[in-house]
Amino acid sequence: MMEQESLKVIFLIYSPDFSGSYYILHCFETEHFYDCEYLENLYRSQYGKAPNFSKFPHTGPFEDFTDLKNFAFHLCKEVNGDRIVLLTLEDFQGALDKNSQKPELCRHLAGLGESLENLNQEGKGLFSKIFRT
Amino acid sequence: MSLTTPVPRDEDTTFPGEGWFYYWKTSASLWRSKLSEYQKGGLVFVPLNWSFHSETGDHYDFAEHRPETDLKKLNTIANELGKKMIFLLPLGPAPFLPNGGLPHFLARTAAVNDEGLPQFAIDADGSINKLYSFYDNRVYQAFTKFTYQLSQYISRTGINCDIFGLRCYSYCRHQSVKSFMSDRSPVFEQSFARFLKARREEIEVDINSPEVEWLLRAEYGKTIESLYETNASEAFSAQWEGVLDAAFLGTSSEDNFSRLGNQHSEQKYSWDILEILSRDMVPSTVMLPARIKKTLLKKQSDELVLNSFLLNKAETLQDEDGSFFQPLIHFEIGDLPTSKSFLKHNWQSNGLLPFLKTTFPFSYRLRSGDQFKFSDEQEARERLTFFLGENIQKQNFHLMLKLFMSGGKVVLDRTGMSSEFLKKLEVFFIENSLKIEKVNFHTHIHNIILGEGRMVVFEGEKLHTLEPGKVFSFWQKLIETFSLRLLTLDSTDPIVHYWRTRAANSNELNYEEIRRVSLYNPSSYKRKFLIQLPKHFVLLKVIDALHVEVIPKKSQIEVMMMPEGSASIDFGVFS
Repeated sequence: MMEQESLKVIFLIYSPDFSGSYYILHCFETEHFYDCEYLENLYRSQYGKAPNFSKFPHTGPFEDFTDLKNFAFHLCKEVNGDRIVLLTLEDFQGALDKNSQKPELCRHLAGLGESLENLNQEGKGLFSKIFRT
Repeated sequence: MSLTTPVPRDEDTTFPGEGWFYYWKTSASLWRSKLSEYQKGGLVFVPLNWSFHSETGDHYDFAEHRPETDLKKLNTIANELGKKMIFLLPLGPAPFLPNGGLPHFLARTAAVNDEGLPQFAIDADGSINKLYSFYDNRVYQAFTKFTYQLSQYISRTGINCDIFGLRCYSYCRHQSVKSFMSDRSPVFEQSFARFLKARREEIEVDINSPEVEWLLRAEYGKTIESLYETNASEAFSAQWEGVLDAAFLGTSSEDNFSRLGNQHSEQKYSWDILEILSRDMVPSTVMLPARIKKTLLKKQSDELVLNSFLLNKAETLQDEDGSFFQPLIHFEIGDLPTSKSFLKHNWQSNGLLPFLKTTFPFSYRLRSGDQFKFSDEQEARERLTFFLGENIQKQNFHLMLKLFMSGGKVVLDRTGMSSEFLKKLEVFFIENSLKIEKVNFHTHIHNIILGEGRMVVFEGEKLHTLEPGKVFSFWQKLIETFSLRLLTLDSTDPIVHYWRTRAANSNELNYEEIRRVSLYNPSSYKRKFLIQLPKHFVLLKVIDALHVEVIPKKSQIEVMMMPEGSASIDFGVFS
């Protein structure tokens, strides 16, 4: 558990739209929130175009789930995360039903959805984790 | 084994902000000491916690079992301490209560937001309050029973305080204010489908168009909201004072995830308070952790919200001359762009809002169409009132003409106005033999004068294609022609500031009016700026200056604010 909590885990909530494309709704980790401007810039650098906002400032579209996973992995590497957890609306709703405190909710979310490990993460040693900024 | 004696809590738990008192969070035996320790003014707002008085829905506890449900005792203590207590009755999901305030047995269908996410809010101590749909008929029936039981209890025990309905909103820069009643849950969709079926025969337009669907959803939501409101106002008729709209900082969808990521920005919340005030709503900090509202945010909340805006709303505790500081409004802007976000043309696109935000920040009030009423005609005449042609309907058309005829200043952007109302406007000018002065400045402008009244009609769509500098100069020139008495801040950086006004009292006979600007620096940088002092204004005094230096100069004042600095400056206004 100690090991788990020292890892930098990023949570990404996504949703498909009617055409089958995917959008990122929100993205955060326990000590940071990635706002839409940050995701927009990352999307722009990855795809060479601005996200297509429909009703909300959500990031996307991603053609399919693989495309979304690629972007999520890129984001995880970009922010030096240890892993990124891709959550559906249902995953999030289920976790919310079972938890009424912030830390519990985040711990629960870490065990849901599809998780991508950033194996290239440098400095996996104890000291680098302690002194990570 | 569990402790049965409630653990004494600190002030922030029982008084979370803006004079609110959470009576259920402390022992009834501590109410007197808590209320007597509270020194922020004579008003105490007590939100009513439905689920605390009724866990099962069959039985109601008003001082029968738990002493903390004894509202009569609470009211008596407040009266004895010289405090005026005001009850706030939530008329929909309340983000500050578990289950949004619903008794446990009614918390069945989770409310869903526009993104498809369950609605929730994170309170000051990090607890997650899930919100449930108020579109469930069982909820409405139980609410009716609760208001009936509560009204009987209030009448039986002779509780004499005012009651306001409370409508709860979140505030987000992207989506503006959003009602917590707004719902996309299956319960909402089912009842909306029934409403749609009933309306299908009446509506001739394409019911499948997103615009029409949006309007119908909004109409249905308003219909249900008004059911709850009517129910409560009838139950408490003698003490019912109307409805307060409160927007809770830190509760929008974006804020929720930002808070899950442990991120708070005091600076952002400082601006949010001003944005919410400009919508004529009560900004509430009760959901924010005490640690982030220790200094400036708390000061801002006390000065601008509790001891000004809420005093004004509660219309009580006036000082000896019957006047206290109220928000200074120069511009009334009808039809919020966000209220019909699909409209291509609005005050954002024609450049008015960007201009005002830069030049006269928060000296304007944004109203949605159905809020556009003037309780004080004198006040309304002194302001500049903006109408959007695309949203002109019979009611606001008549209101606009009435305001103009009684000496008011009106600006109408005629883009998108229906031919019916354009014709009516033309007939109105002809019937009253009004001379129309025509000017071309970036667009066609018509200027009409009737006694003290003035109306400017222009074609706002032409401004869309202009470069921003020209749009800015259009609004600058137009507003200058109205010769409003305005004070402005000259600064390269945005300064968190808010203007208020009050009538001069018997010791200030040289002045007609006293204006106060409250300045805050939530940034970590030093701020330096000037306040221009045109004729008719004089510097009176500097109040509560903290890390601020004010240097009076000829025709202007130089202000230097250190990080976390704050001050208020009073000006006398004379003819």
